Amino acid sequence: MTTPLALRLRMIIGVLALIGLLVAVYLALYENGLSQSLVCPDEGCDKVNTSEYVVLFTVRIAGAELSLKVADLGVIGYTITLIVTLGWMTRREMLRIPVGVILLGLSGFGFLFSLYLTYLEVFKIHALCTWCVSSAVLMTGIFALTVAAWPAERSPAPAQQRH
Amino acid sequence: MGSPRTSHQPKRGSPSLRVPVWYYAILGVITVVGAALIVISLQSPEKPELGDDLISEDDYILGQADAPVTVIEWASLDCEPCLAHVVTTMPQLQQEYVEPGTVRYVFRPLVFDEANHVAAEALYCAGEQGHFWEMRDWLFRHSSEWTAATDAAQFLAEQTARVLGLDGTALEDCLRAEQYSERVDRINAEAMAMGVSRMPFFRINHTLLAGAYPLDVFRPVIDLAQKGDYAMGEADAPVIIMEWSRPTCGYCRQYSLTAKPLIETQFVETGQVRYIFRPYVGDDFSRLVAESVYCAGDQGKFWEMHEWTFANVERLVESADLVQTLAEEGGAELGLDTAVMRDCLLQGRHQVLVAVLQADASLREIPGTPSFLINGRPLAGAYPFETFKQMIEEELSP
Repeated sequence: MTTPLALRLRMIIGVLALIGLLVAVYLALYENGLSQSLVCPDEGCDKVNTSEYVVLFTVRIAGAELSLKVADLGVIGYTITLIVTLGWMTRREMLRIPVGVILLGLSGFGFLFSLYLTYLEVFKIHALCTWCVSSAVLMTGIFALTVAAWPAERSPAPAQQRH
Repeated sequence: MGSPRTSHQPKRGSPSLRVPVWYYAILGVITVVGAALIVISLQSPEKPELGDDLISEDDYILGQADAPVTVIEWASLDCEPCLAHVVTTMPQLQQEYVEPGTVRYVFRPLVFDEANHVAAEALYCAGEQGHFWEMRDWLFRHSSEWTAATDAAQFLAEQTARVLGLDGTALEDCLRAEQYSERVDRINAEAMAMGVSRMPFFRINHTLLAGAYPLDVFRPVIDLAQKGDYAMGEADAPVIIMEWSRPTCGYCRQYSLTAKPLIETQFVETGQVRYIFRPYVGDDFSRLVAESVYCAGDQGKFWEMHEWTFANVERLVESADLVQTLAEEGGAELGLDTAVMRDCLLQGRHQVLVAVLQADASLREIPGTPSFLINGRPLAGAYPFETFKQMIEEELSP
């Protein structure tokens, strides 16, 4: 059983992960050609989401080319974060691994990847995509809250469980 | 007061530590609202006032996709006046109209030789890499280099990889495979069919403009387009009628009294037709009368002034001081600010606009008055209402 502080922080992480997932789905629909436009204050969204950096890698399966886009990875990342957060909201461990460690790993990777994407936007593409920046801010928030929850996650197990 | 509150707080490690129901309600609301917004954005792609028929899937758009004014430029990438446009007017146009979201800008390359064809294809190959507009600028500014290259594809790949940071190998592969050759040919065939002549050639919503001009020439045309060309009828009406006429033409007056009112009641007011009036200018008299209509438009009385000039043409023709008659008599009868109207005419505030519209009529080879374009199909003469009705219904039928 987790602590009340860790629980509260995980509740906030859950909200941020859900919003992040919605943003990532919106971008993924565009990057995969399922929607024709993005609501954006300038052309930055178009410029970034049609740039060469959008495709992470392409595989050929049964003659068809399948590409994993940046936003697809966002959808996967936020979905896992959301499932872990909500599914183990009041638990310390998942598959014998502390949930705090799993969240720290996920959000740490997400945070570093967001930093890399923001670097690409500023220095390579020379445009900022509002939705991508929103996602980076959300992921940074999740990472910061996970770090903040770390002491609470690591605090001694509740007395009742020790009995 | 303190004890009852603390008694409800979960203690660390207490089995009662659980997520409150309201939390799941918040998550549910966020999910529903977010999903609804995404679904709405998928179902209603932003539709500009003019309709997306102007823009094709092949086009790269600079600016906001839902900008009210569409500027399409046709130019060959080694044309010198076109470079002048890119260097001088384009940056100002971008700053004043594209960046604030008034104009969405489209560029279509014209080709007249093999090197041009390769350069135009390179533009779309660079577009694949997200560098369409950077490539366009580079091609214009370095046309003397790539037109002189023995192997344009190799030269473009090497140079743009170095300067623009493109993937040179991918660009060269794209060019060797002639991925965009058909697209370039299609764009050129369409441009020739619509009579694109001098370069650079522009279409600004419903107005054509040929040649490189300073922003002062674009500004009134863009402003007019932003006002919806003072069109009557619904913005998304399936049929657009453009009329060219002048008050001194008897057939124009005949048409305005017979067929036009019926078109208005049966097709414009029912949302099937959008109606645009364009002055046909042949001399100083018709130029000043046309300017007066746009001056009245500034005060919200465009169509009223148009009708007034037709109804009072004899008074205007006999007038010793046309500005006085238009401003003091016409303006006063329509309840306009006559001093503002007079200044507008004396300062020639719409002189450039009327000159551009006159050139637009020439580019479209409008033969005389009255003349009409019904969804682009020409009709010259004061035909009876039935003729218009038949043509409109042909456009309306699938």
